[in-house]
Amino acid sequence: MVDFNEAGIATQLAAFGAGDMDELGFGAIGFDADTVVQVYNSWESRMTGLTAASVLGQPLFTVVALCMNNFMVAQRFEDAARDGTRLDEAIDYVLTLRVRPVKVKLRLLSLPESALRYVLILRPP
Amino acid sequence: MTAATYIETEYEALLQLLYQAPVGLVQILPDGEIVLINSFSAQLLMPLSRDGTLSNLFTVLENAAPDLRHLVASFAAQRGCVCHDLRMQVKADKAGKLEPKMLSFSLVRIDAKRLMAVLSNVTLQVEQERQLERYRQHLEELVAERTVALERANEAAAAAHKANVERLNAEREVKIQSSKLEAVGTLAAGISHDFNNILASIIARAELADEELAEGSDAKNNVAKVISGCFRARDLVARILDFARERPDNPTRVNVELQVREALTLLRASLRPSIDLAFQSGMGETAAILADPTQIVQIVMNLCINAAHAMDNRGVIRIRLDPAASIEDAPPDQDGICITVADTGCGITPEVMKRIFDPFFTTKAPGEGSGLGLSVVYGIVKSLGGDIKVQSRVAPTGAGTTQFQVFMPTIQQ
Repeated sequence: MVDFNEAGIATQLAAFGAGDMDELGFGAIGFDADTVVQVYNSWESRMTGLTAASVLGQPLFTVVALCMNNFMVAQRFEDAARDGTRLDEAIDYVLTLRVRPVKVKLRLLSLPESALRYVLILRPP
Repeated sequence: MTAATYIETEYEALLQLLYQAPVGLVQILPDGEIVLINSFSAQLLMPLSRDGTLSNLFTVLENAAPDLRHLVASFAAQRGCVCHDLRMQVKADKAGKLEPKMLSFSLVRIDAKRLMAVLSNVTLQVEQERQLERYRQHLEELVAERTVALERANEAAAAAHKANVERLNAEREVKIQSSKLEAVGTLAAGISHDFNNILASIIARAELADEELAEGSDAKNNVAKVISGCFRARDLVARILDFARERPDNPTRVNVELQVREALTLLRASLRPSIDLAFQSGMGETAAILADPTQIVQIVMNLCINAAHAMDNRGVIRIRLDPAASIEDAPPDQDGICITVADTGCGITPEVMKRIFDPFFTTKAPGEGSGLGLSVVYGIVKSLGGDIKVQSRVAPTGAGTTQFQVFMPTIQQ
């Protein structure tokens, strides 16, 4: 089982095969350079009540998770892409859209060599 | 575009605006229940939540804004907007560090049951205002300090200017007096020799004529008066020469007390018995100055003769010899001796006081005084590096006082 705080998690996620994402014990959303959602794991689907089918192919920040479309989350990905730098930051955050405001920990992952970027969501037990 | 599409498009735009807005937007019901909350306000308010939820704004802000419930209740029934400032600790920076934040809290009424709370982070603005206030206070302190310093500097400058003017006036007075003495001295020195020769010739001729005239004749009496007048004229010339005389070429060590006593002895013989001379010395008998011995005698005799005249030849003239340092208000540069001559005469009026040292100025009747006595004293004292102070209280009935204080530098034993 991959841990949310594991150091080399970005590399591990890049090597995941189909179905591996659903084994994770926290939410994981993978999106491409155009912010289109390509991965929406079953844990996150259970937490939000959204099916993967309804989310995949949708822009993450402007449709699926508007509450992350700000300087704290979306801007960090844009900055990393623009600078071609690695992004791996964990922040305390509060999700609001479609759910009651809930305090979570987000891990923002972006490797210049990877096609997908990830937002990992760890909810309190 | 259909109406439904338009509404959907606008709704999406508003939703984007709501979640991207860099201000906190929280839609609440009158009881504080949160209906909608955007990302910005969620990040600001969650650290204040005790149970990790953001379900009721009153509960979340009960410590930061205990009167919020009352504020909302009073506002819910009216239209418009109300603002309220909140200070709170929030976790708003990227590193999750707790920082004191100042939030501006505004309420906008949507309808009878819904209100929108608008939270703006005004921490920077408040800090800038505080900084500005600190600068203003600091500036005021600097201005106040500078003002005090300038006032003190102005006072010091004014005092220095006043002292300078007084010093310059004093120096000018001394120069004027010295110029008068110098002019008269030059004149006296120029004519006295020739005048003495003329007098000698007159006296010689008058004495020859006197020998040939009969005793008791009117002519002999007249010649005697001519001779007597010539001798008085010769005395006057001698006094003029005294006045014109400069500092002796070879001043010697002079015991002041001895010379004062000698002058008093001479005075005693010339003053009327109704005048008492009271001498006291507060100096050692060895106090000495560098001068011509006759100069001390001249000073004392001139001052005492004037005193006797002022007292109408009745009363006591007090003469004292003291260290200058023991005299109140002594000139600052005088630390030698002080000869004081005080009388109980009629005093000197302010008008006369201005001219008492002028050569040939006299208040005596014509023929009774030359007007040179105090000029001679002044000239001698100044030539010895000394100074004179005069204090007088006028009382024509004879109960006034005049006191001359002559300061002169002493020499080491």
